[in-house]
Amino acid sequence: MNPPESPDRLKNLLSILIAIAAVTGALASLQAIRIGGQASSADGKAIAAALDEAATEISIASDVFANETMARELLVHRENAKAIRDEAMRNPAVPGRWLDEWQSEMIRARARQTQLNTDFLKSVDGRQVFESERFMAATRAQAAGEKALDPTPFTVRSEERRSDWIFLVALNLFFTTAIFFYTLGLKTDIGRKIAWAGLGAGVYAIGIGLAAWNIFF
Amino acid sequence: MNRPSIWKKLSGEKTFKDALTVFLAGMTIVAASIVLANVRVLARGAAASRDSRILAIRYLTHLGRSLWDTAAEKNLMVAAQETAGLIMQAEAYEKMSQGIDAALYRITRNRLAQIKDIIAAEGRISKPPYYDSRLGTFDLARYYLDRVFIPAAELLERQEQKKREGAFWGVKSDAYATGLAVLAVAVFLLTLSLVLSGKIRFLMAGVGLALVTAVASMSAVTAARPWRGRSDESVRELARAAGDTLQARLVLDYGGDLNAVEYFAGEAAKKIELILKRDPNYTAAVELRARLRSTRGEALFFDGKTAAGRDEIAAGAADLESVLRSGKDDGYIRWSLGSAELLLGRTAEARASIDKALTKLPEHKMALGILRAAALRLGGGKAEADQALEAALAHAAAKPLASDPVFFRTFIRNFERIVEIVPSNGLEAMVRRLKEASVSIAQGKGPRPQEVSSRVKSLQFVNPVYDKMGEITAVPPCAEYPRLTARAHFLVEYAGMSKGQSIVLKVLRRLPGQVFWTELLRLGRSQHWDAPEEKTEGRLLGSIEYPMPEAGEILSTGEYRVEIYLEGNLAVTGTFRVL
Repeated sequence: MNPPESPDRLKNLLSILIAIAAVTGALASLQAIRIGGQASSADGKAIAAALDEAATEISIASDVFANETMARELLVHRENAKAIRDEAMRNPAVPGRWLDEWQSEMIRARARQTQLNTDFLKSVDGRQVFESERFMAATRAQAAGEKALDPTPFTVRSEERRSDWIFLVALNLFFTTAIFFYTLGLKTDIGRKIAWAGLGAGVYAIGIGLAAWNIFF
Repeated sequence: MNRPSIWKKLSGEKTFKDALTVFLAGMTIVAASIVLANVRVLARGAAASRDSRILAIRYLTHLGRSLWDTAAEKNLMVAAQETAGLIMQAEAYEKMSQGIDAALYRITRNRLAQIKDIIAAEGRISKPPYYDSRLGTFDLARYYLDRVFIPAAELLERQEQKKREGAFWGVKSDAYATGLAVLAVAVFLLTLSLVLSGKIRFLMAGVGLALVTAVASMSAVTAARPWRGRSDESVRELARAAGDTLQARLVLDYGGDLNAVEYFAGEAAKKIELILKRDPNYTAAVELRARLRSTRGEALFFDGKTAAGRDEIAAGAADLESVLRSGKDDGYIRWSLGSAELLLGRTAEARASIDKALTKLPEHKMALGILRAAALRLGGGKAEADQALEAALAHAAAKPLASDPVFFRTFIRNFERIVEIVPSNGLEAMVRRLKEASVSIAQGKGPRPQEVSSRVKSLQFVNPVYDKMGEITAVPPCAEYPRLTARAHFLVEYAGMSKGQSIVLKVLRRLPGQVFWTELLRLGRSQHWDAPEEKTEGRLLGSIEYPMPEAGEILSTGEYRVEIYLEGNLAVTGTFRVL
């Protein structure tokens, strides 16, 4: 039976420890690659969300333009008609054709009002105003229910994944340092072997501890 | 004493192998450190590249949205302007009428005033700072710059910064990746020295060691290079300065008010100075300063202060050359440089710059070709200049661009002014050729005016005298019209007219204190001769007036020039003045 400080048994132990550190490092690298992929995927989703946001915003802007133009026309016709009617009521000099004009203005205005989405028309001081801000918010909310419209959550996620990626790669520094100390243990006198092996094990334990902390906390 | 003993120790095979094994183990730490550094720069590079793409999308989103908004505001502005015109018309008719008619015009005027107020309450452009209630004018250019151009310029510059940042991290990552590849070679050599015997193993180990040292040093240098991006403040300021620079250029090109050019150029210069104080190597700011100096220099030059103008233009050209030296080279920079060199009288350099611009911007063969012809003409090469000009005009006729009329107007205006202020070696003939070609091309009849036998014998400005029946009894000449004149009459004597012949009337104005003749498009007319067959010769009374003079559109104070073209041929030119 060999004594515990037998060089062969220690060498074997150190070789096993080197192999364990190398395998742990490789596992950390594999995980790092996986996490790096997740970060890239989050980047892609952020870009896709920005594109969806662009399409929605431009479409809303064009709808607002159309609705506002229609609301303004409607408003002008109604005001026009109102002024003619008021004048016709108090001024007998207003000729008949003006009253005809008023009636047809009213008919046109009503027809346009029914065309327009009345949910977003409100009356301010007696005049019809298209509520563009509320229309935008409602359309945006509807579009957001169908697809992601804000890239920010994806960019935040990507930053988190990326910091995990860097952390996992950084763990390799501990494992390679442990391998270095184990190798020193293999190649030095018997007294110092234990010290180098202990140092290596200590550095390895710190790396594993940090990984555990990152996973569980 | 120690050295030989260490060397002796290492010469022993076991010690050599032990030392090398430990070294190889140590190398894994170096490799892991480089990998970590590489991953960090890759992460930053990927984030910058993603942000650059998102900013590019945001830029396009902004353009789409803001252009729709601007269209809505412009509609509102036009509606308000039209209503204001109708109000003035109603007021004028009210004053001219009596009784029920006057009452109806009053009702209409009040009704329109109500509608105008309602329209004004709806928009942004109908409120200060874009609306001047005292003058009743809208500043659509300022609205466009504030709401469309400046935010777009800021987004584009931020995107450019992110793009550059991504490229910076990419270069760093390449350096680390190269280091890792070299490290693999070093590992191979060091491992080889473990299995070899004899002196060759020292050579292998030595080379391996040297490679590791080189990689470690190179990686340390790479890691020490920080990213120096532009501050958000500088980017914001640059966008605002770009807005002021563009406004100065727009005023110079479309308005011609040199005091206004100087005001906006001064505002831009203050901002650019501040940016360059903060970031002296900010190439985009240097390029903007070059454009600003060109605009300022041109304004001074065309104002007749040729020496001061050329100094400013030369400073702008020096800035453009420094931008080119920094590695940024595009057709527009070459174009600006060629234009500056032309005004500086460096015609050979101007030709070289324009030729380089032409290779990069073949679609601008017309504008660059005219500039090239001017450089040749001012350099003394008449035949070559004529050839270049004809080629440019032929291109404009074959492949017209929407911007062609603007280029024609700007070149004609600037060349006319150059002829007035400096010896210009036959540029006058070019001006006439450009005028005739612009009319002929606009009518789709090719670059050359048609051959005609008709002519305008004389053009005289007159002030008709009417009798009580409204008949003209006399047409005394009138070279000066009083203030607030709504129309100026002219009398032309023509001969040899044929049916269907094209007649184009152009009106240009030079405001008091201004140097440029600016074409007034709304006063111009394009018609075809449709008088009876026998009316080939005679006199014609015409007028210069806006489409709706009753709405207060008068001829403002200044000098006016009228040009009449027959089938693209400049037949006659005359001038009058409104006091």
